[in-house]
Amino acid sequence: MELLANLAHGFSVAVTPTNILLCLIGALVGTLIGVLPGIGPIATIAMLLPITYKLDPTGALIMLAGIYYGAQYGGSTTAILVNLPGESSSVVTAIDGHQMAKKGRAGAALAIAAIGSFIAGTFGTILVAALGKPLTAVAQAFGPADYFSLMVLGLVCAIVLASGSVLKAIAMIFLGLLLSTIGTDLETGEQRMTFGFLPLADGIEFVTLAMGMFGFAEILRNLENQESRDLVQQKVTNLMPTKADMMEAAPAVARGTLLGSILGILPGGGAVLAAFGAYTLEKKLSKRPQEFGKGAIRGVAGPESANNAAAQTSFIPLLTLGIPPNAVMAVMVGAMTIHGIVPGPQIMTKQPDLFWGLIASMWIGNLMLVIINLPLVGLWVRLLRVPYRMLFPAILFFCAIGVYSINNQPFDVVLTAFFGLMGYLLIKLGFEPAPMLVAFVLGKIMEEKLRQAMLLSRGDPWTFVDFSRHPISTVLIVVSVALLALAITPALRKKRDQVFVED
Amino acid sequence: MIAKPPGGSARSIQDIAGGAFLVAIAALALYLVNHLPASGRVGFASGTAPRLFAYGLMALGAWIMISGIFKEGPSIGSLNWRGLATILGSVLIFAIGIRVVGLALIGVPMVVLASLADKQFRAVEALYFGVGMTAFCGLLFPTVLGQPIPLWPPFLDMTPGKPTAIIVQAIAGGVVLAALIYAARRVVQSRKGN
Amino acid sequence: MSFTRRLLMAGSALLLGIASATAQAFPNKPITMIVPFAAGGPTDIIARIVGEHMSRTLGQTIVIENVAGAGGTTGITRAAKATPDGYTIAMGHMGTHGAAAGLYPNLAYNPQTDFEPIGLAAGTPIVIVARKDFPANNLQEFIKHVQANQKTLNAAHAGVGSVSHITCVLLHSMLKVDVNEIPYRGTGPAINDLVAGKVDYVCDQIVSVSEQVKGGTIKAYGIATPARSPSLPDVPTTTEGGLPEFQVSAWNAVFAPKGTPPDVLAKLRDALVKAVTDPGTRKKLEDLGGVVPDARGASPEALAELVRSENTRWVALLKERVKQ
Repeated sequence: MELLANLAHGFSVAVTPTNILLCLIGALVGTLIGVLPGIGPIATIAMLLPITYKLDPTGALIMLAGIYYGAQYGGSTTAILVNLPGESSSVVTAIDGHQMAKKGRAGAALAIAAIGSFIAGTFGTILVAALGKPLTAVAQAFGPADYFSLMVLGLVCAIVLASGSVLKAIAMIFLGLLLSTIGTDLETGEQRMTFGFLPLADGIEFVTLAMGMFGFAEILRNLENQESRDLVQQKVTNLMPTKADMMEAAPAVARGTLLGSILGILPGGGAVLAAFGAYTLEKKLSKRPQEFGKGAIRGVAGPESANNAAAQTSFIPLLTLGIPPNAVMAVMVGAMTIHGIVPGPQIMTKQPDLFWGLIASMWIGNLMLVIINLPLVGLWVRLLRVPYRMLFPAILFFCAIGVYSINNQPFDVVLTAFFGLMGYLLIKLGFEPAPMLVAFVLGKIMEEKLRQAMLLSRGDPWTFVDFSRHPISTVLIVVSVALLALAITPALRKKRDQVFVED
Repeated sequence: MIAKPPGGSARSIQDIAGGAFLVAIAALALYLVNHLPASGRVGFASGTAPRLFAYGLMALGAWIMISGIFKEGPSIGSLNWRGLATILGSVLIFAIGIRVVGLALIGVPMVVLASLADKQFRAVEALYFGVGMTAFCGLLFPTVLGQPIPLWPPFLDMTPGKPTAIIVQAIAGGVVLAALIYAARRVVQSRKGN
Repeated sequence: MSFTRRLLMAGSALLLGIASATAQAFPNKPITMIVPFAAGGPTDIIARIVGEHMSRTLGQTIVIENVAGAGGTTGITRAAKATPDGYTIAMGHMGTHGAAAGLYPNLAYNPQTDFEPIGLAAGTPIVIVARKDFPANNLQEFIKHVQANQKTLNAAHAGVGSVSHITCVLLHSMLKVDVNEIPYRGTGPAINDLVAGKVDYVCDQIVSVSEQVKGGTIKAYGIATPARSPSLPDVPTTTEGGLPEFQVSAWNAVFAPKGTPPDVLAKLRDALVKAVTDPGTRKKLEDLGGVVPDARGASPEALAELVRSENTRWVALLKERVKQ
């Protein structure tokens, strides 16, 4: 019951008319900026930070919470409406979400995403409040070797993302991994595949790659295909999901929430793994896996719930250890620091107002998200009725500005054009971009963790399957090998049937 | 949807070309990492991972290519050259122009060039839509959100109160106003038409 | 309204504009401060706090432009090439204006000759921290333990060229040890694995580790500045602990491109000194563990001297200890 008392205290700190209003404004502005194509959650939060500077710390924090959730959800909206994932975890949402939009069911996809996110957010918040400390211990058990093995498992799951040829999906995974190694070597500082060119020294930005491969390539394909582009516009049916939709989505929301809550605790790739882990799970459990990739509602509900649950539980390392687990959180910490709040392991005991107030704000932020976005669904869907000949130049323009604003470097925009060309060619040659993008994100973490594990073990490659020292890693590797065997065997047998994969 | 090749060619051109494309990328990567050590003190060095991934990609590419020779499959279909040239061109124009002439001057050419990708291109509409988009983004990003995106040409002295600033801003305001009025009239006309 | 009246009004507005423009001197439009790192990091936070006060003195907004990449050298390269009119300035730091010349053989700017120093903004002391069960109770024991066990210990850092990397290299060169240096992508993951006990110790800026030290999840052995830090008052300095030659502070300083007019520089310098001597700004920076200079420490002469000595120290060390 102490938990309830603490939560009540948190709400007493957070719930004042001014704070609620700040949270509402934050969520609204976060959604409105985050929904612009090419402007992902990190850029959105960074752009909106200055509006919180003049507020008192509590007010600023609660507004930030609103901006955080608004930006996250805005990114998913863009993924569904125009097939443009603004961050790695919405790559998966784009797959079936955009297919739903093409079938005139954008409203249902957006509403399910909002409702699923709210349920997941509520569960995640309770988890953070109740089990923050013990869950930290779980995250701390993961060392570099275990992380590497987790990423291997992730890559094996990425094969499932493909709706077409498994062989081509694996090839795309290797391409993503290869692209992830571009840039300065982590250990020695050597330049890898950068042509000695300074703007490439930090490697390729996710947004640059995603905007090119998904966004520009998609536009090029739509332009040569009159039917597919008009599909999105003409058949907008009911805005809200039907009762059957809700029944269909409910178990996916529950599973996604659980998976996301667990993986979100892990710093680094937690949220990405959560989103497409949930997708893989739904596809495997489904009685009609062939519908995935063609607009399955569970393919939206699962990953979106997982994504948002992970967005909650990724606060755990921040609140219990004071360590930001990912880039979005690092920006949030910077914002808090400017307000004189430095999160650390003592925040719970020494600043209970702040700790419980923040947890209460998290839930209020989630609530605002639903309150704002369910009515906005109609507006977003109406946006799709803008003639495509105006929609696509607008998307390109926003993308160019968004990519430029990441590092204020024109070269990043040039790179996006290059990846647009490459993405278009790959689509023409029958390859799908989603597994590549996921492999790109995981590849960076995977190589980092591999190198660390090898350094820590003084060059022993068996360290990953050394059960006495790294039991988690060993189990993950065994599971990965088993899954890979299962995934490849039927693929080899059925290969002949899969040659004619329809685009 | 990609059509089957006419006459049922006993080859998957798509797979052959796709595999070759991946092999080429892998070969380029291997060439670029040639100077990096393939293995080091603890087994892994800076050149290890890129080489492993490139070899993997090359093997898979070759597999796709060779299996394509022995199978029926779709052709590549025609490439949308007009779309490629205009869309990539518009993005490149933006990249080149943003720091040289600023958002205000680069916005309209970019939007108009991009619009040319569509076979239903309407010049006047693209023009006023470009003006509208530029005005919207110019107000939103550099002005309201305070983003360091160059709005005006850096070679003009846009110090508030200076004559160049007043004249340039007056012209920009006039253009935006004209575009808005024109767009509004078009909307009214199309409503009447229905 | 008649046409002539409108014309008259427009004309007088234009004239007024010209008059006010000539009366206005620097600065009469927003100033861009390039921060060569991503938003949210220590340098960015210092730039925002100092920039906010400077903009009040100058009467113009200071826009922070984060141009991250290649250890900060991308942003500083752009600053070096910017028009020297005072409207583009940069927040450089120990890496970009000290260590970079030793790390990047093709550095596109000269830290000593391509800039006009404005002044030091704030430094954050380096502190040696170890996992909480590290078997050493003070700095002396730490040194002995590291020297005796250099084959089995693991130090972590935030990536090649980062502050935690080069200070770790400095520490190892002073202790004459060859300890495994494990690279991470940023301070957060490195501290995470330190808290979890996967690695043994880290050298990093006090702002990144002070809360963890206070919370007891890691322990600190020494602060590499002459005086103790108010944010960790119980942690002795390296001088007290018996390693007085280990003196490092990750300093952040404001620079303008070479050729900026002297009157403009004077105004910027005045605004910076006002910012760092303002009690409110000082408190904000000190709460983060920052060491804030006095008016003399923030002078351009002091900064020029600092850049000179730091270049000497890091370039020699890094050329010897870090393979390129």
